[in-house]
Amino acid sequence: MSKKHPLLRLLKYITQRFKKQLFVIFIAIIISSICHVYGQLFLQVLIDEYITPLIGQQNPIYTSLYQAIFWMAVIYLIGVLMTWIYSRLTVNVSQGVLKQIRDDMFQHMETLPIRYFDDNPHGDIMSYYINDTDALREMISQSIPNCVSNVVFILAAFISMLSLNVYLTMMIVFGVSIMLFVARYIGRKSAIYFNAREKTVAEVNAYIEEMMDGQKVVQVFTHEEESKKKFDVLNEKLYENTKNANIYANIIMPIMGNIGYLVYVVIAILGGSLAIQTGMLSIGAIASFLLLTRGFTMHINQLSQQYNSIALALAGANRIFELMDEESEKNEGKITLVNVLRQEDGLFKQSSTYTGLWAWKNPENNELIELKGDIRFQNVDFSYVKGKKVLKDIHLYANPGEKIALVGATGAGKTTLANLMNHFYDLEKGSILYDGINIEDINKNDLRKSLGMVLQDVHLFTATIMENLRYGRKDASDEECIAAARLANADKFIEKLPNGYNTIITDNGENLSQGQRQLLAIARCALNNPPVMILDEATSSIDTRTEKDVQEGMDKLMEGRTVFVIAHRLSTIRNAEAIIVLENGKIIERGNHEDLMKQKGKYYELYTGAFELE
Amino acid sequence: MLAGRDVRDYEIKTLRDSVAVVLQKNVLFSGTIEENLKWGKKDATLEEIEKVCAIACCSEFISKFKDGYDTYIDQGGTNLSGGQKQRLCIARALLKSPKIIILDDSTSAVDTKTEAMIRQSFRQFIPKVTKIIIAQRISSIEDCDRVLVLDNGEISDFDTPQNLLKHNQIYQEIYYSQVKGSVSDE
Repeated sequence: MSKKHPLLRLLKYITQRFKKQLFVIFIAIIISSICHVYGQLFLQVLIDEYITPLIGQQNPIYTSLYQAIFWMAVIYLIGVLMTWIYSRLTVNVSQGVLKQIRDDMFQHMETLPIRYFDDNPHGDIMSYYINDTDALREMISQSIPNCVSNVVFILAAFISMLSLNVYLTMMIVFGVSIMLFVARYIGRKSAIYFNAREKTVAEVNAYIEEMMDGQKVVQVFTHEEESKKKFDVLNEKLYENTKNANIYANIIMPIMGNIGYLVYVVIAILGGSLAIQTGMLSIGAIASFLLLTRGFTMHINQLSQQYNSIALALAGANRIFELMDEESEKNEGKITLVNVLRQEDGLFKQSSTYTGLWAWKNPENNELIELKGDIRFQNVDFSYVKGKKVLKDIHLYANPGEKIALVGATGAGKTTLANLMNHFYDLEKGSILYDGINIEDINKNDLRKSLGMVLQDVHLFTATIMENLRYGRKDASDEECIAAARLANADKFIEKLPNGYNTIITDNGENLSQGQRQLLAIARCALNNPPVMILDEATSSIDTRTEKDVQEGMDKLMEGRTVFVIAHRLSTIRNAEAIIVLENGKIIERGNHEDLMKQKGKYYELYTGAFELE
Repeated sequence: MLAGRDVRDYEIKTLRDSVAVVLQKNVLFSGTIEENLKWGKKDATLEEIEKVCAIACCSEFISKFKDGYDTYIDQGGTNLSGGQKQRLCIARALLKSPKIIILDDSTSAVDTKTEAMIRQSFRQFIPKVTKIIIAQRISSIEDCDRVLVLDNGEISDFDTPQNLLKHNQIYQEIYYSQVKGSVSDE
């Protein structure tokens, strides 16, 4: 299904869930179009059989005429009713399809690897949800039904016209060909600008987002004028493209309309002369034919107008489907994490409730391996961008419960190590073993559940503090959340807030200090009680007064766990079992504090440099 | 009060042009490194740019990029590390040739050695610029002339680091937790 034309995929979306409604819509459109054409065709009968005989009579009897008019009214009324039915149902279908598409997009987006978000500007992704779905809405709710009704009308009108007069019909076909030729030419021009416009809209959105994020920086550098200028340039581009797109779109109408009138006039003259000279046509037939001519050109006109919005919507659909085709993060690991109970004989037994004790379960032989937190990197090579190695031949191990410190200049590869443990990216070479199991064999969700991460940039969600803590473990009770906050020493500041744990965090915690945000992240991590923790520069921005408390909280948290600390403050890692010094993606030194000080290498330099470079 | 005048009396552009602030939350904009740095001074020459980059210790990592100063920074600076961003922000602020530079916890992601080098070059190249440093690390402020100790929004003390170490309890607490605290573990 992946490489089908976007239109086909879209149609599949529409037909999947709305078969019955679509059927009704389709029938309603056909009936309404036929009623319309029949009404116009009926005019001939009305004039020739009911009106003309009455002309010049002394006492005309109108009964049959009234009857005929009544039936004509009924036909038109049915047409109107059918139009109402299909318009009404189309709204259901189009909104339903859009909801489904948005749901599917978001659901799929959640499965994408981190790499996708590294590579694609967020403003673009947001525009798929907002602008591209809107273009789709227009197409599904208006263009497609219009197309169907127009095509049915045109066919019906064409057959009717043929039945009235072949010669005149040929004339109309000739006129309409000219119309279509012109429409195609202008439509193409317009489509170019419409596409350019969509692209500029995305650019403008991204720019506004970026400037809002950096408003404080803009002010500090008094860069308001420049920001405005750059915005003006983008805005001007948007204006030009939109203007040009609309100029072409707007002139299609009058040009086509006028060609339509011209055809009408030519038909009227030709039809009139035919009727007079050859008597091939009755008055009624001419009236009917002219009415059909108007309808015919009008509907051709309408049909050609759909060209743009369909092209636009398809371009949008293409982008949407591109997102949906984006390969999901592979999660092929079969080994899962299960709660276990230790039986009297020392063996494990799987448990369906939370026990606080975990084991890896291999589904092939149902073997249970205790989750201990033993991590090993073996000859690991890695690069974010092909050819630019970030890590080279990394060997390192952490026994359960050990504290390993990662030291190195910015860009040395510390954070990358943490990313790899989470299997956010695939290794280029080598392997990472977790309790002796290659992490590639472990289900990613379970792997990540077993790792606690406190990142440098804490991300909080718009929700209460309690709900944010519960991100750590969905089924945690309020008491457990509070206990975790206490462990992380976050309880003090939370209790001082006016609404305590029910305080709502907005905008990624803009209303909290960076230290407080980090405390929450630590508490959130503590709640999950993971055997392995990665503290990525966790204490870098906690305010100093509380730092001691935090350090204590962290020490409590680290107890009995394997911990990787990525730190800049060498004083906080001196009690680590092993200190690993990274430089340019390579491990250059390892050992405990005393060993490394004796080596007088890079660590020694860093350590003494920090205090003695004054 | 700034140069003996209430800050509210200054025209806001003049004030902001003479004061450079490096914020805690660093923001770089999508564009090349050079374009980003030129926020500090629109018509800066390459020479000037190279100079401030040397002071802020950015030259080394910039020269490692294939495109050097033309390296494109993605929105939000996602292709740089936290420390690299912070250093570029410092360089950008320096390019303004400010009278006063405020560093609001702006070297937290830079390793201590690089940070020490930045401070060293600050002393060497911009000795006359008033530097206000907001910091978490004692090592960042140890060579300051005077340190303002704040506690719950109130000024606890304003003195030289040496004197504070002797008298001020809060300063001592912080100092020992970071510098000597770990030594006493042994």
